[in-house]
Amino acid sequence: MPPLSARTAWVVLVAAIWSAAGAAVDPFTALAYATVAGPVIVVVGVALRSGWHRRQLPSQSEPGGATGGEVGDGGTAPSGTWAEHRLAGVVWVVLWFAVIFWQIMVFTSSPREAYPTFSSLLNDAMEPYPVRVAVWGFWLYLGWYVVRR
Amino acid sequence: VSAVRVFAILDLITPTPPESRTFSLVAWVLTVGALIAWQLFSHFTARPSAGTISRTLRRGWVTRWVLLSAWVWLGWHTFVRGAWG
Repeated sequence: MPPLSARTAWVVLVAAIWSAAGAAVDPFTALAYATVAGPVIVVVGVALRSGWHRRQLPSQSEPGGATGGEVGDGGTAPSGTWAEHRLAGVVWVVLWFAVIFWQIMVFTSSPREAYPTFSSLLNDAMEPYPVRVAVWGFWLYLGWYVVRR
Repeated sequence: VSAVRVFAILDLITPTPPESRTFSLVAWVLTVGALIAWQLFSHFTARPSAGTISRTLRRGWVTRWVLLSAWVWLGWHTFVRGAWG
């Protein structure tokens, strides 16, 4: 595992401090909007700087670009045939459909105590401060994951 | 179409599950657990995983902004409109 660069270490430190601060803020307040708006502005800025406003991402035209080919999570090409990839795609669609279908079923049912939605379960889980910090950190990580190159 | 009408249509077309918190929790564990298990299996067997899906979505101009919008919505819904405590 390669050592963290100074820049990455700073980003991780800022994200950790932001998560700790954001988790201490009460919802439905101006500060809550501000703590969410901060990372959103940064991530959208990174996206625009990476050429997201263009029809085709710059790296797509470069051979071996980060978004150019079928590259797996660890930077290796997924193994298997086209049929296996298609089967994997079908499994993904079926599993996501099951989650969304169940969410809609419980969302349209009441009482909420008997039919908890994903959000209501997350709210219950987020009562302890450390869990909120972790959820904040995960959300920031997702933002980085979406715009990374 | 108003949100209320959409809600009413969804209510009509989806069956009502048994009124049991345990049943609901088991269903959540099974559906989300299957999703996580499939992601782990795909990751460790080098099959198309969530990362592949994310990369595929980022290739399209519309889909990459939809993906980013989903992330923004997730943050707003979780931290601005949260109901913990």
